[in-house]
Amino acid sequence: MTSVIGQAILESALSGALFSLKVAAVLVPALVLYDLLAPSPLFARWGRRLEPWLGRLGMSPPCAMPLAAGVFLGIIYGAGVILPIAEEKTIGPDELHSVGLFLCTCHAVIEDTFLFAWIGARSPLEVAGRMLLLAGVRLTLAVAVTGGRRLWLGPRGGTALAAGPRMA
Amino acid sequence: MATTPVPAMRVRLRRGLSRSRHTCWVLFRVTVPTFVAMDLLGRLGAIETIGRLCAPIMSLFRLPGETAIVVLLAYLVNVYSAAAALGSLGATFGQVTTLGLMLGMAHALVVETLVLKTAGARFGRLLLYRLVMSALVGWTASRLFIGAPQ
Repeated sequence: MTSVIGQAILESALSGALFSLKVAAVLVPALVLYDLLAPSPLFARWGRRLEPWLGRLGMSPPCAMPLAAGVFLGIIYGAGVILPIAEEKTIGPDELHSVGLFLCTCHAVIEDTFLFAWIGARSPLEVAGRMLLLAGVRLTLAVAVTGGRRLWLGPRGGTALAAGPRMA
Repeated sequence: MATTPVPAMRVRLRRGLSRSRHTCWVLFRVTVPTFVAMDLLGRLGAIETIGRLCAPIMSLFRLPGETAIVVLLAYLVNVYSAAAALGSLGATFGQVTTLGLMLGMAHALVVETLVLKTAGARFGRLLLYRLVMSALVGWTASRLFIGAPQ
């Protein structure tokens, strides 16, 4: 009896280990690649190009860093970046709510989407397709919801924006 | 921010690897016990019972009752345990897509809400928003990706 239970536990533990190995095989290169590329000047240039769009979502340029950290790394990993910036008070409470709303809808796009994308997928193409679908829907909803909130609140939602960009 | 020095390639690589190692450790630590627990629960017939009890709620999303376990794990614990449970249950392409969208919207609610609270966001409203959004997205996705039950 004990050996039967023991064998069952061993078998399921092994398939659990195999499952995490399969996930790690893709996740590790993706996460390392993100850390290698994120601080590069190319990304900073793209980030600056996106800044005018942040205004439409009710956020000012200082929101870009916590937003990027949250979108790619997730709320828990990104907390290392998000919390210190929130404590510095460079971001007003209203903007912070916009950031929170955006990140609640769309965060950790590499990890969260991949974990679900690969289950039951028959080819790498299906995984990629489903990842794009999962991430795309979340990103679209995040932009729609934060943008909608900004429109709903009107100019009040963009008080920090009226002061103009704070960075040179 | 524009004057922040770009860290050296080695520093970035080390940061990426340490983050990955942490992720893998969490993944492994969560997945193995989840697989074992799901297997034991399955043998005891508990998963079948939970499935029967939750079937009415999950049928709103055209999902089998057992997937309620996956949803609860995602909401309360994290996406790793939910993905592991879903992996051990097995599901169709449409079901996984629907669950992925639902749970992407709302997961690890306890920990993430605490982070948002610490950051000073209006966490109560955000929590409600996430749950409502999760249900709405799940309902819509189920109509798109899962065929009507016979």
